[in-house]
Amino acid sequence: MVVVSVFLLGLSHLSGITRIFSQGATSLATPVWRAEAYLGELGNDVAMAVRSKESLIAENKALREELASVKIGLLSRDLLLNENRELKERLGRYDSNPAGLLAAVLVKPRRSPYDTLVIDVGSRHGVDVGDLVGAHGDLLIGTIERAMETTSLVRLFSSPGEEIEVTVGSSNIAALAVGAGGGNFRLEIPRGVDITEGDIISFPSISTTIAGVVERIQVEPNDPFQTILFKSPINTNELKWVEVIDHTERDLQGIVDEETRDDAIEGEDVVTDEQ
Amino acid sequence: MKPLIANIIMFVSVALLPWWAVAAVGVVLLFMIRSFYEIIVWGLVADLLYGIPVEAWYQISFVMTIGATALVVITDAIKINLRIYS
Repeated sequence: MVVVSVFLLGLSHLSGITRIFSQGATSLATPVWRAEAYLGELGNDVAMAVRSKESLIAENKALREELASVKIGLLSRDLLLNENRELKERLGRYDSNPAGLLAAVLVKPRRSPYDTLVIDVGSRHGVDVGDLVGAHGDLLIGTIERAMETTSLVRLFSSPGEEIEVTVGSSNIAALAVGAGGGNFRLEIPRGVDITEGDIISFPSISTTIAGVVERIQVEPNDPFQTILFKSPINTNELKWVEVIDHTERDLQGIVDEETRDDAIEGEDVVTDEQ
Repeated sequence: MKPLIANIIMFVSVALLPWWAVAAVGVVLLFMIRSFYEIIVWGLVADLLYGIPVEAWYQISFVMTIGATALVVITDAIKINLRIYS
């Protein structure tokens, strides 16, 4: 045990060697992951083929009804989105939501205790360490931790102990959320702040980027703070596709490194309250 | 032959199974095969594939290696006290 500990301590300080071994291990494992994804799809197709006609008709009907109500919701959302964009343009700020590089998820977070994903794009496709990873358009879920040649390891924001800046509710109260693993987060805000279950938690940015939805609020009688438990609205263990966004193109004041944020604050195009 | 098959099983488990299932497979193989210390290497492989320095765990990114080592120590200690291994 002592020998192993000393070996690991040495290895942790030799990041170059660790990276080489990591690339080698990933090269061996990638064909297995791709085969797993292919067989998984094949299995789903076979399962669909043997299901009874009645159950398929019932599911089809339920999905059509759900689609109809979602379409109506989307219409309202599109109207609000356009209004939001026009208002920002009048204030001289523009939405910078660059299109991302689509990537398939090869390994889901449940595979390890680290809350990481493996995706099928890497440095060969222009992916770089620090790039942001999103899902379903408006959701950011993590950053690129390691970019191998054809695959990349994604660190999710909900990784245990990971801290991210967020804004809470309609009053956009700034707070620091801490990852609790599995898409879950916790944060503490003063007790007087008005917040309810279902409120949106978002990243501080000119663009709307959802971090999660409030699930539970814990208040102790003598505690001046309330603990908010929130969860990403998507189940990262069911993700099939994500988008990789070049971090140099993304206008995020809370997520990017401090140097980039400080440069943005010092820039002339920042809109202040006085303006 | 047995260790070779065991190593293939561990490789496939690390690549395809959740970490807790890999641990269960590892424990079974540790009891079936004498001195199956290769499991520590497979823990290291899993950390190289999926590991990141985790804030909550003091930036350690070799959790599964440490876990595999602990499994070896614990199963060795149990085997000493089991009649079938004496």
